[in-house]
Amino acid sequence: MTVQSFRNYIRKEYFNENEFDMVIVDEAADIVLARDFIEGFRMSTFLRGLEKWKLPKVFLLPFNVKQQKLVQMIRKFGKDSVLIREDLKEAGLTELRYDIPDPILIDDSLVDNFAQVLDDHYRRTRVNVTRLLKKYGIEGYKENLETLLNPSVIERLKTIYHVTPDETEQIQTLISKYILMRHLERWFLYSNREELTRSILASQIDVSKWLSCEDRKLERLAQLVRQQLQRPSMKYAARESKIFIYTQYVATAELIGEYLSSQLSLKIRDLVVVTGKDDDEEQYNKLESFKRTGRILVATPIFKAGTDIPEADVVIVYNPPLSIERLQQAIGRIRGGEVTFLAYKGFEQSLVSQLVDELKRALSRRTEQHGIDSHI
Amino acid sequence: MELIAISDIYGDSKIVGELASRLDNKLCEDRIIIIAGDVANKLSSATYEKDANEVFSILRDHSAYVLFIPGDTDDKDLHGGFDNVISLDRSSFSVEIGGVRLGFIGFGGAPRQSLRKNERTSYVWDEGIIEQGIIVDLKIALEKASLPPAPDYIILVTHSPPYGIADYSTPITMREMLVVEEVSEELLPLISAPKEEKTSEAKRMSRSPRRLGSHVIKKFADFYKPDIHLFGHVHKQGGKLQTNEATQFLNISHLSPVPYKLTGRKYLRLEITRDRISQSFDSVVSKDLSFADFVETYL
Repeated sequence: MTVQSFRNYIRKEYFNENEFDMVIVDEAADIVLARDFIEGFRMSTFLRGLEKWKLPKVFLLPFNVKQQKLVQMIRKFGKDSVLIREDLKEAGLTELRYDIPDPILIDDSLVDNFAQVLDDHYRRTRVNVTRLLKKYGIEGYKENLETLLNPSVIERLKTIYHVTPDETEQIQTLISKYILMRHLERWFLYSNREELTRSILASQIDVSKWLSCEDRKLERLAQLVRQQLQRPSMKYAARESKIFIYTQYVATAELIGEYLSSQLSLKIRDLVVVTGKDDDEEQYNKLESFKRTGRILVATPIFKAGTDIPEADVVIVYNPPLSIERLQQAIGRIRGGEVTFLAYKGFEQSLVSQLVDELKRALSRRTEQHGIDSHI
Repeated sequence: MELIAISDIYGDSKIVGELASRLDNKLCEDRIIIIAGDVANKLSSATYEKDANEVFSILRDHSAYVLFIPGDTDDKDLHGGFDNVISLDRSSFSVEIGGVRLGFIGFGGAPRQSLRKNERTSYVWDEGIIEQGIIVDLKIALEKASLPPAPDYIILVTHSPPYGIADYSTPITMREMLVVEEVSEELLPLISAPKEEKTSEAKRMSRSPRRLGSHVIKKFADFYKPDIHLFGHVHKQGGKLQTNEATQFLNISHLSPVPYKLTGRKYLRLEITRDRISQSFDSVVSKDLSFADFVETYL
């Protein structure tokens, strides 16, 4: 059962400790990868009730979980808990191998300028917000500025810190501006042309020019996919290669799906687009269809923990995800293969290069620790 | 002839003035301006009548006719106050301009389910209760508009979108901060795990995005097939064109820069001849600004 079901069943007293001899928690990494206080809060609610059980508990964890997190888990679930480090080598997966070539760069000075300008606005606005928070003695909020949009937090500022309504409005206006800047930056980098076309920005002379031209990133993707489709599978004998295109937004996934359908001679069954718009059953059916007969899978990060797609030979990362953990999860799903990044030259290039370096380091650490063959 | 369609103004006469200054004065006699609701905001402005009147008086000087329907923020009985400013709410209007005869029919207000809980508005209806009334009113209006000489085109103007067409959004609010907050919420799932499954009741009551349009208006449009259906109300879907076998559906919201700067300042221009209709969306902005200045000025 899921951790949520466990918590609900315990709360409703559907079962108790005496009915079991042991508890095994698979994918326990989801519990321990708490990176900020929101995650920390979620972590504290996961498996609520299990900490009181005295029976043996087994947690299956990936290699990259830090020692400090393990200590937190032991503290929470009891020092008699058994923590097992998942050993892929023993599981016979020594052939796990990742090739990560340098990112494929797309030259588009307009997009680079848009992203730079928006990032510059974002940073300046954030500095201004921080300055205001310092002025009112509420710097503690600077790590999670979005919480200042919450009416109950605003109420607290007024009653406890005596921030006036005008001052809170000033802070909120700046926060809303920086959120908007970040959001727009992603729209450009993620080719969210549909929404950009309907936004006020579409009227600006350079954006209008950019929207009237073919998307260079999509063009490059189509070229890359065409090449990949002609290659045999790197992992399975006598089979053509299968491609997993990873993107962040639903709109981008749909755009990629439409574009590839129009540019490549594909059969309907060749291309599968899976997004959060599909319910669980549709997601499962589409994924199965890709595994059986598909050639290209375009997906947003919606697959549940434990979903593997070893049939895919290549992951093409269309745009950088927000966290390295998310990316590692996505890449881990193919259980070895090639990982190719696409990035606009300039602003996005530096973001992606950092991400690639981080990913290579993470995979190297894993190789050193466990002898897994990761060619990078 | 030229038809300019706008919606969701909320009494902002400054933006209306900016729009008017961009219109070609030579075409005034060949132009009709349509307002698909939310002319001003009755519950948030002490000078509602004056606000609406100001909007009408600017636009009437730049067109042969201003045709409007009241939206959910308007008084249900809003009057034009000028001889060439005409309400289309539950009624019709026919006119021949530039050799093209047009028949207009309209229905104002918005369905209750499209608004956020506790949102203060003045003209909402429960379509489950007044379904037959809406259909009958629109049908009578259509029959009047279709009287000889028969119009070349029938144009339906409603404030609410038809269900399922350019209507996918979180329930409508005029509170700008809530709209921006949603942008941030869109990003939250990317940095945290999926939320716990909600019960169907909780889902219904939540602010999750869903189809906000009216089933009755959809039923009418599907059956009577107007040539053009103009509507507003659902801001985030503004600028969308969808065509089925007989009708062009256009979400024209929103001209006001609030509640969401990113999608505001929008208007639609339709050029109509007997043979064809061409349409283009545009924004009331200075297009030649550099990207950096544009962002600084409008966002």
